[in-house]
Amino acid sequence: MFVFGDSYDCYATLSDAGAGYWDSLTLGTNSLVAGRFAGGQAVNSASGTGFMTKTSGVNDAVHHVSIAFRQTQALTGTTSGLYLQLQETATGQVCIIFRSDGTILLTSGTTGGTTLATYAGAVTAQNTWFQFEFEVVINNTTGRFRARKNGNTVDDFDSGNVNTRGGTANNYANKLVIGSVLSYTANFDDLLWRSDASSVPWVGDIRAYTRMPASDAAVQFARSPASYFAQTSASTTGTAAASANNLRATSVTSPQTGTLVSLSFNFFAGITGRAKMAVYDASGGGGLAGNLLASSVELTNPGVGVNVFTVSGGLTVTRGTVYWVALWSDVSITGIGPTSGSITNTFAASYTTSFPASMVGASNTSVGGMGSQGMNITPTNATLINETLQDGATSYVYDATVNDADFYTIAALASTPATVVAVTTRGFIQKSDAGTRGAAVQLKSGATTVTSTPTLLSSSFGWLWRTDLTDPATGAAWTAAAVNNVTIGPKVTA
Amino acid sequence: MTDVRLTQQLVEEWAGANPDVRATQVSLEMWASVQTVSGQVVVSQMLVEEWASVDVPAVPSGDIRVMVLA
Repeated sequence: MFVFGDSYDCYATLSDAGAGYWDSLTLGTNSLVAGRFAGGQAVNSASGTGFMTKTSGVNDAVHHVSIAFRQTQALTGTTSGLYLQLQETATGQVCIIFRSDGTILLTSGTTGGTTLATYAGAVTAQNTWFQFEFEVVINNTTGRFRARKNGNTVDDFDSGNVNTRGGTANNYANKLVIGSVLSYTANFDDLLWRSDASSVPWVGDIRAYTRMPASDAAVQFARSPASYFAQTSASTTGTAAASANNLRATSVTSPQTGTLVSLSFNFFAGITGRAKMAVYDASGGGGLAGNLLASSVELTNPGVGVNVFTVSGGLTVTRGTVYWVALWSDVSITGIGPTSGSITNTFAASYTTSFPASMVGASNTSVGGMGSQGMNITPTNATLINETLQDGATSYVYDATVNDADFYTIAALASTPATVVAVTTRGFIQKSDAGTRGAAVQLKSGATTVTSTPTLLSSSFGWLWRTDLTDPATGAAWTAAAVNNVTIGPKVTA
Repeated sequence: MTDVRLTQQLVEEWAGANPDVRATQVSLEMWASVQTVSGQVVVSQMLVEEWASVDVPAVPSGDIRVMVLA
């Protein structure tokens, strides 16, 4: 069975959908909007004709198209809007058209063709998502159009026998076109197209959970950027002296998930004494410094400028999480920071071997000379390619050695779906420069690894993907638990 | 005197192209039922609203009425 679907969740702009995933895309005034489910995206169809096309390469008679639809204009009039056209090569066989009064039409051949069936009352409310699963059988005598709404297990509409072979002499279709007849605003999401020569099972109300990498399972690709630096403030406009025997911690938000390798502080002048740094979590109540997470080596007589304090132990820091980075010295130091200082947790403690296990109870005021406290982080591979919306060359992983591959675990779901229909593994991939280079995406389930068709890359980012209707490890239908345990990643193939 | 005139000079370096594969995003789309295994009908409150006339029945004459004063 052929299958192709799009959640539209991972695109930075709708034009990304045309980067090798859909065969063609005419953007027009169409755009991305908030999706059917929190955190997702949908397509806002405003106008235009034939703005997404996909060829299956398979001459199938039975087609199922699942789509979530939301009409954002009033339910009135008889304007034909969003349509789904099944074509044989470039000739339309049949069209499913959403009309502004909530009716769905089936027309012969094109959007302007003879009306074959009228499904009245399909959409009954404005600004409300309705999920439809349509079945179209392409045949000149036993053609049929059926629809089920919102997961109904029986037909909400059945055309009976109609001639759905509206354009050619062949009882099949192999191309899907999505377009809009006239200016008519509606959204659609979670589009899944399946086709088969004889039958396609009904799957009811389905959605695409877009699951991003969570951690590195086994990696060989290099990272860009290779490291991240984050500090409370980069301002160097103010300096102030700070007395000895106080921990002074300022907050730093980790820019990526990775390993903390060092901490740093900008000294206005060198000191004759000892200093070291530590990082605390923000569990101290009100988001203030709490428990000790890691501490650095001690520097003796650190000089003027930025001093780096190495941290061993491999503390994992998490993107977007706030940490408190503390400096501790046995002599007074003069630090560099904003003119007005930075909000600082100050905790009195005589300088000794080990940092206090907790900073709870520290004062929380602005302190001059503070704010240059920083963290140096080596990111995981997964964090560079798991952004919700693709970020191009801002962060990525790269490799030029044939057969090198990465595998990442995937993020957990908040709830477990009752059934899993298919799994699509996707990667947004380019080659960096002139010359030939090829790649694929892989999915590993149990001990079985499956690979997308190896593809020679262009120097623009494009999609590589594969869809698995069954678990490659078992050959049986996916279970939610099996999907939870897969790892995915890119591979250099040429 | 005849000069030697040089109008262009360059080096052509013949080297192998060796581009990297760059992956900027990898994801998994899991096509699954909207219905979850823990999907239940959840009832937080239940009640009956009885819509009735404001008028109360008249007190039948002849009843014994007792008023207790605390």
